[in-house]
Amino acid sequence: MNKCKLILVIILIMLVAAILVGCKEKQMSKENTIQSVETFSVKYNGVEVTPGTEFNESLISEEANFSEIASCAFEGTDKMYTYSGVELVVANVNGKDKIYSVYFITQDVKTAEGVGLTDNISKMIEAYGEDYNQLISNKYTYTKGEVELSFIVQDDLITSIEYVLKTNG
Amino acid sequence: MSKKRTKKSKGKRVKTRKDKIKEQRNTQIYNTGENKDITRNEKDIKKVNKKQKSIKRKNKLKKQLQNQRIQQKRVNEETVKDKKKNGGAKNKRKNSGARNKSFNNKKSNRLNKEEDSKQIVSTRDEINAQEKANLNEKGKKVEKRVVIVINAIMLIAIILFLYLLFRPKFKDVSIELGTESISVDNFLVSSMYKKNAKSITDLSQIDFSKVGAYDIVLAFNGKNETVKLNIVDTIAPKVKFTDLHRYIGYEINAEDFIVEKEDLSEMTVSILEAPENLDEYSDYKVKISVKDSSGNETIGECNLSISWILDELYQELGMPLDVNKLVLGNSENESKIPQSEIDKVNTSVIGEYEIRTEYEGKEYVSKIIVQDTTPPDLELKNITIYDDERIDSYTQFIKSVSDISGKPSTSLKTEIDYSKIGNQEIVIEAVDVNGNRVEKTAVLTITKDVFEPVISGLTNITVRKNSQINYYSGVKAVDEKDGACEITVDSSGVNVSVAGTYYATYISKDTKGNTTRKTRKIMVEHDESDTNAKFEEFYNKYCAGKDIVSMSNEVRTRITYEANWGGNDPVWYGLTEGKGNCYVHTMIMQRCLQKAGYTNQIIYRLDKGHYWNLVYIDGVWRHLDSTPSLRHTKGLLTDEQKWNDAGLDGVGWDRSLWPAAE
Repeated sequence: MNKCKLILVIILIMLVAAILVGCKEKQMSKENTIQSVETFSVKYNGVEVTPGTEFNESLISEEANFSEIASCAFEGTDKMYTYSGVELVVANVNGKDKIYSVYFITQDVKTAEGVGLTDNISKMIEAYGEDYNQLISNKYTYTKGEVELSFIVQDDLITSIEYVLKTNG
Repeated sequence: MSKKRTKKSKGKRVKTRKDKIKEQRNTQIYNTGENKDITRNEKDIKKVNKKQKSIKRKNKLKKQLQNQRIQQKRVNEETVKDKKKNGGAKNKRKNSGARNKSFNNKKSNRLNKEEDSKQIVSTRDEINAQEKANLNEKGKKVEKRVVIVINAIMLIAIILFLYLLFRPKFKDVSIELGTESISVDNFLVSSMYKKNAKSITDLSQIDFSKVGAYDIVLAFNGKNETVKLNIVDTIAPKVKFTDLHRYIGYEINAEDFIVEKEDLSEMTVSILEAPENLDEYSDYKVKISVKDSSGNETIGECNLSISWILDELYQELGMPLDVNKLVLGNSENESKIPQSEIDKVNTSVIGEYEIRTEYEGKEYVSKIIVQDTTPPDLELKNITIYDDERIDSYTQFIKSVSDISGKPSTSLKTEIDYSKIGNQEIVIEAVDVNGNRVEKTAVLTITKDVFEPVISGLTNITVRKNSQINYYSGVKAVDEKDGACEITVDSSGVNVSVAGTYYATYISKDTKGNTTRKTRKIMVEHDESDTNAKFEEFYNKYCAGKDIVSMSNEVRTRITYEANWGGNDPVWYGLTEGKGNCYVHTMIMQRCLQKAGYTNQIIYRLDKGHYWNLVYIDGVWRHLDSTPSLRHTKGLLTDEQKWNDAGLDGVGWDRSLWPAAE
């Protein structure tokens, strides 16, 4: 009888210990989640071109059409790099040339979640949910970290996709 | 004769054990209740047989004893007779009466019967005893023999064991030079020692390419033995000899008579017999010896023909006759051959031709054998097909084939496997009329048609509202296998009556069913009414009833910054794309201010690098910048405040062109 009691006590202690460990891990993972800031990530031809990152033209093997105009929002000029699939705008952000926006040109380019031009709006909602901001009637904007991902929709078809760096302006 | 005694009971014959057994043996008992057949007990049968045999033996002995008794009786009778003859009293007694006689007869009969019965009994005992005695004897004899045999076997086994234990396990070995390797097994006298035998000497270190003797140490169950390994060369060199045709003055060289020679050790070539002089045009015998380093010798006898012209020349069909090859010695000998003789040789016809020449009074006949030993010229080409295609004929692989003797025949030597995707070798043989063959290999590549047609020409189209669209103009679909393919267009999503951006879908399919789908952007141009409608929608939704600063905030936040002037209609651009540069924001803001009833102007930097609005409110002008940027101060600003705005980069405006905002 004494032995049985002892075994029961041991099992109970182990259970309590397991619960406590589980709670702690959950808390830690939550803390980890809070600490790390997620953002939309975008790549073109395997190269990271997420807005807010520095742009290294040499990393993209494709040749770009280049143009620049005086910037209304940033110091200096806005530099446009037009590739076959995307258009990148590089601006002087906080003293450094960083990617400001990535605009999709062809339907061959997809977001990391697999959404592209000519896709149905349902695919966008499936990938990103309904927690969007509708700045204008046909423009759906999702925000993650410092990057905004906007879709323009006409007749339920996506006609425009753009990643833009939040400027808080 | 004694009678057989039988048991009698109530007039009936009582069955003896023997009878019962007989009965048992000869009858089958049926179990009527279960209708089963019960077969004889085999053991019982054996017992019965055994008993029968012993009974037979007993009967035999009985008979023998009976015969003995009969003889004894006869002897007794004779003695009685003798006694009668000799003694009167006895006779008187005899004569005293037939009664006595008959009494005596009866008595003797009775006595005889008793004797018989006693004798029968004793006979049986005797028989049994004898039988037993015989058996014992036999048994003893057999026992003796068995013991002897067992003893013999044991002795042999012991001898054999001792022999096997102490005899040597390994033996000397001789191997032929060139043997690749040797193992412990080769040295064993019997394979039964294989398990515990090992080599102490490293056998891999032995050079099998050299003749020699080696001491090899081997061990069996830890006990070492040394044996000899002899590498010997007993094989003579393999030599292919040839006859020679040479000119006068030739110096005999043994190597000239050898086409090829082969041996594992070094060889020396020497002339065993050769003529002393080679002054005359004649045939001579030459003996050549090829010896290896172990003394194994191969001797060849060759013919050395000294002449100025060959007896025989093989000429390839179709090739011009090279007379130089026919003569020996210097080329001047060619002139010895008359041209008429040379002309006899038709090198384009297979056959044998004779050339006769005379020199120094001697006639020389040389045979020219025109032959065809050259295989046809065959050139193949590789072919690539799709998996649903077939080769009509293997001749498709043949680029060209020819032969001097005429058109050669060709054949396919391999089967085409149409199920194999990828490369496979195709072997084709060509044979000329004279049997000369050649084989060549081509590659057949079978590919799967998994590629859909490629549609090109799908540039964006901009059309006016309500106009006709030619969807097929400049568009084509081409398939790698099928060539030009049909295109179908799905333009159900295009509404040319409403300005906007639409997509038309172009579809093309090849014969294999590989399908390609591409979309094309169709932009239906807007007009003023579209822009107005778009603006009204925006204003009513986000700006109506709001103050100037709030309206400016709406424009700033809802239209994101893009380095784009917005083309011909920045308001339309900004409101449909939701983005634009400072000019787009300014133009939209202007419409909002107008809508709200505010007097306003568009103002810009001296270098036109930036645009914003100037609005008249509460009796004064104020600057209003709606561009989304931290560099542009929000709200209503005076000239001084705006002049210091970071977004102007120190570049102001022409104050003479616009009213002051003090």
